[in-house]
Amino acid sequence: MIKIEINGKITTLKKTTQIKDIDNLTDKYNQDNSIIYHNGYSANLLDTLEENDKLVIIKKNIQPSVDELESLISARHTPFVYEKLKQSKVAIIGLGGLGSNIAISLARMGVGKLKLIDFDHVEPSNINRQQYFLDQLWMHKTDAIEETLKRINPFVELEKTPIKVTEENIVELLKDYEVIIEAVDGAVTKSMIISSVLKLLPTSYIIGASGIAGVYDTSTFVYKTISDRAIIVGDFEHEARKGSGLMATRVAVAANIQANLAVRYILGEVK
Amino acid sequence: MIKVKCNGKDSEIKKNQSVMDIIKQYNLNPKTVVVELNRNIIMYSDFENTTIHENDIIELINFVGGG
Repeated sequence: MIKIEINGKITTLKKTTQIKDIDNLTDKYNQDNSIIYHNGYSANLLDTLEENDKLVIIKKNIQPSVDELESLISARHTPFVYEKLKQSKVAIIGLGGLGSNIAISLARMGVGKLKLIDFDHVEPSNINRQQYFLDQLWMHKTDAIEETLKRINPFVELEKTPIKVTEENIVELLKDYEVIIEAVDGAVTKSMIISSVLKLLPTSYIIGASGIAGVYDTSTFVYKTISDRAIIVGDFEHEARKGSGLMATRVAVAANIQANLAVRYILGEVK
Repeated sequence: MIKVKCNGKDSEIKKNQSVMDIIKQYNLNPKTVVVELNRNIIMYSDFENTTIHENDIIELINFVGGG
């Protein structure tokens, strides 16, 4: 016998069972009204199931039950990524163009807990690149992003911290977080955060960004590593200033490079 | 003069200079630079009172705004 997971529940099956042979599969889930994923990819019903395989069966046009929903959300994940991410937590400092995109990607991927730090409110000039909506104007960014994240993946625990990070409070704010993302706007704050985390939080890993303005080619982005525990993404040149704006496309690329580095670190794929 | 390595390059600098002096020679804003000296992070408040010695390895990583 083998054990496999169907919609998050462990099920025992005979060895050499093909997907099409699972009891009642064709009755309950005929292919016209369901979508079946096998280990993160569209299932071939003739494939033979193996120990620890994951099968997700999504019935079209039906609102799934809450206890099934979590496994359905992660149906297209690479197997066992969700389990590791679910156990992890990430602190995001700044919820602007970088941070709002980072929070959404990490919530979609199922990071267990996000600490969301920003003192600011949503205002109209944010809309060109930040993941907020016009009906959220003047809300705290922490409240606005919470609203959106809960609509995407209600299984992520959120800790909202609507205050400014300073040299005085940074250790207290971040001491429980091994993975930290610097996503603030100002260069002075960026360098203070990176220096402080490296100096004062000796077991934390921080991912920052510098040089993401304009619509320059994204192949100009490089990584710089500092003291093995900080990695900074950007071109290190193009700053936001008079005559050089921040644009949705390039900012979102940098944000998702940062988010991907966080995920790679959690999965043990960066040292 | 003493020999140091700064941002991966061999350089010669005057004796008894501080981290702050080096940052200014590179025309950088001391408030936006992360400084690593022999793999230790130097905080902004220590830039003035940290002296560079022969064979030190200095990394200056400058940050620009935008996020």
